[in-house]
Amino acid sequence: MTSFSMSKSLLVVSVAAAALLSGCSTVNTIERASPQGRPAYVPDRRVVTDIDLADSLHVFGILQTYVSGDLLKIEMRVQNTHHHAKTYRYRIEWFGKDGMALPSPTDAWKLVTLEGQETASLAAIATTPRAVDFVIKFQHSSQ
Amino acid sequence: MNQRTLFVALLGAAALALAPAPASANTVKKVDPKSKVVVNATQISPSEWTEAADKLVTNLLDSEVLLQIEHPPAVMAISRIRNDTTMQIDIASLTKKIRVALNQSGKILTTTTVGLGGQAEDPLAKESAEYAQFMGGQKQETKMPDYTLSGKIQESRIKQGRETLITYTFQLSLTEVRSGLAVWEAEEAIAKTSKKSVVGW
Repeated sequence: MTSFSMSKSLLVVSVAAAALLSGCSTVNTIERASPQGRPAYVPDRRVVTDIDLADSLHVFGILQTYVSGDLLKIEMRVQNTHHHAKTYRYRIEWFGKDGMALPSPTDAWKLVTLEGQETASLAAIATTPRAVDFVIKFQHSSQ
Repeated sequence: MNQRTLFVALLGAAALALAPAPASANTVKKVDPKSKVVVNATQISPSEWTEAADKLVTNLLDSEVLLQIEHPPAVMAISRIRNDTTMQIDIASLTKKIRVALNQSGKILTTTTVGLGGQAEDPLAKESAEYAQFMGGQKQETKMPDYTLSGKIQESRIKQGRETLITYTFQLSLTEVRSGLAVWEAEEAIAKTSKKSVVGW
């Protein structure tokens, strides 16, 4: 083996070891081949100010329904596109028919940790029947 | 640049990327209880109270329980919520948020004149009702609770080396007074790790 090819082999081994040691951890999943549910995502409008975040956290869409009679419930299907665990922050604001924000006693940034390539559903319910619209905010978390 | 220099440069870059971050004295960070990350701290922060309350409220609103109320709003009284942690905590930090959320939903209102052991949360309201009844001779209608909210907050600590995993678990039950059955129960956990520094003063 020439010194060049040996160096090349060492380089490949080093990079592979680095990838392993850096904690790559993804999630394998198994599900029904033909899902019975047909998610009807609501049309959404996205404003991206952090391209890195948009690449890192993929939002498939938002589902909505009403629970307890008249309370708006939303659910987002999201995926961490990285190959290692990431923590994100998210917050949901609710708005009434007049477009004004509705205060909620449980309004706060919330944390969610997703493993590499993991998808998850994040749900929230408006505490008042006056809520008809919502805005969801996402951020990278330093934690 | 020859191959050897390139190799050394790449190896150096990999070493830098893998090098552990400089240890700080005491690091504290919050984690998703379901995440694998082990984390910190010995107190429950306001945002964590909010997060726990939010999850419990979402769980309650998402259940079918509130649909079973025949004539909303139903009346709820706060029963005993036990603090089984080593901290002195204000239980109202949790219950108030749940009460406000239920109040906003229009499904359940909380009574402030009926409390555990006959103690009213708002004694003036209770006395005023009694005074009006005495002076006016009219029987005041004090609504008795349809539901009671009870529960406890637990703490568990697991030490491993310099790290301690602390988990606070919030357990709540909504009991229907008429039947005595817990019609809704939920549990939420906040997990954190506390890491002691190698050199401590």
